[in-house]
Amino acid sequence: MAEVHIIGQLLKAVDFDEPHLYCKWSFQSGNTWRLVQGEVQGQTHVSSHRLQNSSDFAQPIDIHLSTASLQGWPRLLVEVYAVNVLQQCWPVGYGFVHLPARPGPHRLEINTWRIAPSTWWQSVKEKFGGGSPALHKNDLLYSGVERYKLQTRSSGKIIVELNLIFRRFEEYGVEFK
Amino acid sequence: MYKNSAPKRTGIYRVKGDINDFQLELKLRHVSEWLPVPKFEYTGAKIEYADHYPETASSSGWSDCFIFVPYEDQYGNNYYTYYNYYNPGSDYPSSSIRTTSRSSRPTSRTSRSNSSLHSLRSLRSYPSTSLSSYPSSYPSSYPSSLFSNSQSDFITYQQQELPSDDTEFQIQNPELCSGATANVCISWQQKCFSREEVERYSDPKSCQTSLQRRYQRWTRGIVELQQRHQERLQYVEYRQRVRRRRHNKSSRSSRSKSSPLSDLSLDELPPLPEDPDFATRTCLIHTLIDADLRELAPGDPRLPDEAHELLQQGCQLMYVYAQLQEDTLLLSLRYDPTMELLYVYPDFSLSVEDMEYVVQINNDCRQLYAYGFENVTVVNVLDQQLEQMQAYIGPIGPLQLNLDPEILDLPLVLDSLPGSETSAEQLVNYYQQQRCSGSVQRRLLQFQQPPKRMRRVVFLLQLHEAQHFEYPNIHVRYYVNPPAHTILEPGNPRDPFPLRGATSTCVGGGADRVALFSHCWQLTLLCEESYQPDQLLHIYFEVISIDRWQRERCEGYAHFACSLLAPLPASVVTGLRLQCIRPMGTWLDALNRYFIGGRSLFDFVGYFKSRSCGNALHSRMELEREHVMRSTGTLIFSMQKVQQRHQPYGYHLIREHSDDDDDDGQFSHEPKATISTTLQEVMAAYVEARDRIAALLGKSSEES
Repeated sequence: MAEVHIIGQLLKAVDFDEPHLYCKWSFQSGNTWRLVQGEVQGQTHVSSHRLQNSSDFAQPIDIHLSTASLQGWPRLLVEVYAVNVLQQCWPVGYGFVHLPARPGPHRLEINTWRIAPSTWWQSVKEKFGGGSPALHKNDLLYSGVERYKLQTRSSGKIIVELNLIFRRFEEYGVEFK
Repeated sequence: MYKNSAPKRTGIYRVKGDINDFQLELKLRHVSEWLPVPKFEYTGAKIEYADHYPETASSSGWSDCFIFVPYEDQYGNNYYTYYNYYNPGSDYPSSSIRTTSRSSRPTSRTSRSNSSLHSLRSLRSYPSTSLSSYPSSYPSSYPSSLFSNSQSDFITYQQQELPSDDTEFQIQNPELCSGATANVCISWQQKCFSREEVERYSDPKSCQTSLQRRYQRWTRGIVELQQRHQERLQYVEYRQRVRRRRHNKSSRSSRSKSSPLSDLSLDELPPLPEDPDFATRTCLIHTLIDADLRELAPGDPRLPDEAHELLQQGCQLMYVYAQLQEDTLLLSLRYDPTMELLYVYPDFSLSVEDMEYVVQINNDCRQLYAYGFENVTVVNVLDQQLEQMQAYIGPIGPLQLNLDPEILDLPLVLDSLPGSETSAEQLVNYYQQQRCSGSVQRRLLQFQQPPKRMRRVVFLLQLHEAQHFEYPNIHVRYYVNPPAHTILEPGNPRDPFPLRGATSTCVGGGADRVALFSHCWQLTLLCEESYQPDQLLHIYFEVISIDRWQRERCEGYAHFACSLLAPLPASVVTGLRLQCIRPMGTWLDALNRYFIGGRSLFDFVGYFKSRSCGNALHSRMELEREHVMRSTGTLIFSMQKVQQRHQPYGYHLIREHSDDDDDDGQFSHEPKATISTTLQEVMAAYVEARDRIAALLGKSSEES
């Protein structure tokens, strides 16, 4: 079994319109990948920004995975949520990124998108901080069949810093190049 | 206390997984020293003594009492000896056997007092500690002296004639003799050195083979450990000496004021520094592993009897010894790689704390040691329900199920085989169950290998963003065209079109505003080792915009090609900006596009293929207007690649041992055997080696 250590932090969210944000993150992988130690999903605190368009999270990530195959290489899914004064929250960004396939330090910028309002009322509601539409099922995040029917809108970015340690891959003839 | 040893039997276990993950925990302690209990025998009135002799203690009524001491020689013959109660030097006149037995075994004299002197010997490591300064409160598991205070001269007499080898053992193992438990964790084929080996390998000149040189490096750590411990003891001794000297000065000045208990508190030894790892330092437990056995000649006395034959049969052996008063074999392990069976003699204890096996060393007195060992390789119990659940897990991974990783990550499973009394039906059920669980285990434990003479290439593709197109509301459709003679391994078997897909539609993005997609997908291909580098993987992108009336317009096409086996450029890994183009068309096409919309049929795959393969030059002046293109927006696309060669299974089991630089193939005979040597594989290895050398030379020339 080859092993992967993922050590790093979910640094910050930039270029989002909403001032109060938090982020849910999770690692998605194939059947042959198993968690040895750590948490494969988590949630940051609510970070508020006023002057700079940047919400700092500094959420630590420390995961130890083992795998018996290259199929289903891990992906990091981030979901950014906004919170208003009424403590209502709604998603304002979904983003994916592949785990880098080379060991060492990496700085990842995850572009995110949100669900575009389909009606006039939803647009008004979103404009005045009443929330934006969310996905009814999270399966739509992964499915690629007729995905163009999913109407989205560009949102901000999530900055992630990761240090990767790969172990025993070379024993199975795996080369990262 | 005498403890019966548990019956010893051979345990046979089937090994699933890596035998190198096997670990056992072993504990050893000194139970007791059995001294034959003396009994008094009355020999009757001494009528030969005259009445006019004055009555002394020795000639009183006790003078006719003798101590009966039975003992056993090395051939199992039982002897006994009588000693005078008050004068042990004088023996019973009728004990004719005594003289013979004592002369034949020169250490037998000391057997009478070993029990009382063990605690004394354990303090020999403190040279300044006198016999009288030994505190009665010092922790010791040894029985108290059987002799009264009136026989202190006897003790002193016996102490002067202590055998040197027995005393040496006490000095070398003070912790074990003072009742501590030696605790070691031994992995499969882990080398633990004996004192002789540490001494032998301390001289670098005597180390000729690579194994000996490696051992010479490893024994340095043990020598340093011993030196540090010796320094610590010397420091404790020095502190005690200084303290005693100060106390003597102060006691002279104020002797009248000193309390009677002050001497006792002074003479108390400081507690020994706790060293839980003393077995490693004292080389109490040592092992004889497969590499050692292969270096020994067949007639070597260190080679166990059956070892040579078993080595010839291809078994891996390991023997664990304890260096007690004599070198004692504690357990032997044998692994048969063909049958994947592990033989353990004696069998594992239920718990290492039980220490149910007893070693009896018949020296002058009978030494009893208890030991136990337990398989500490995590596992053994796989819940049946968990197995069934694993068998029907299907596409859901353990990460989603949040199963206990300790249970799932089983590096090694040792299954006890059914006994001989089981029926045929039970045997059939047992092996059927084993096969079912074995398939699950194989899937979980064995890394998926590409087929022989093939390579697995995994592409991690990501489409980041798009911008500068004519109309917003764009989405990107991609088409992957793998080269010939490659096999696609779909990640999701339910996906009907694994080679094509589309991103979501970005509302309002793609024209002036950037359209963020963050779309990831993975592509896995199998190709031959002798892959032609001119066969490229092609990916075609088609950018389409959809307006509010659901009219589609083509915004551009892009193309990316890369070799399957060559390394990717760094710009592709970080993010490559692809320029999109689309046919310019006529003024009628422009009007049609603006007012009506829709996509005109354009063979962009053929266009890019002719450009890349046929070296066709397209310009704005050529007659075929459909090949006149204009640039539109850009896409940012990145790709990462992971390759996997076929590696013979089991090679890594051995290669773990050969991480030393000067390993000249101690373990390499087995991997060589596993590597099949067909002509094609030899050629493939040659081509690969040549490529690597060329790459290395290229790098070095660039650096120079």
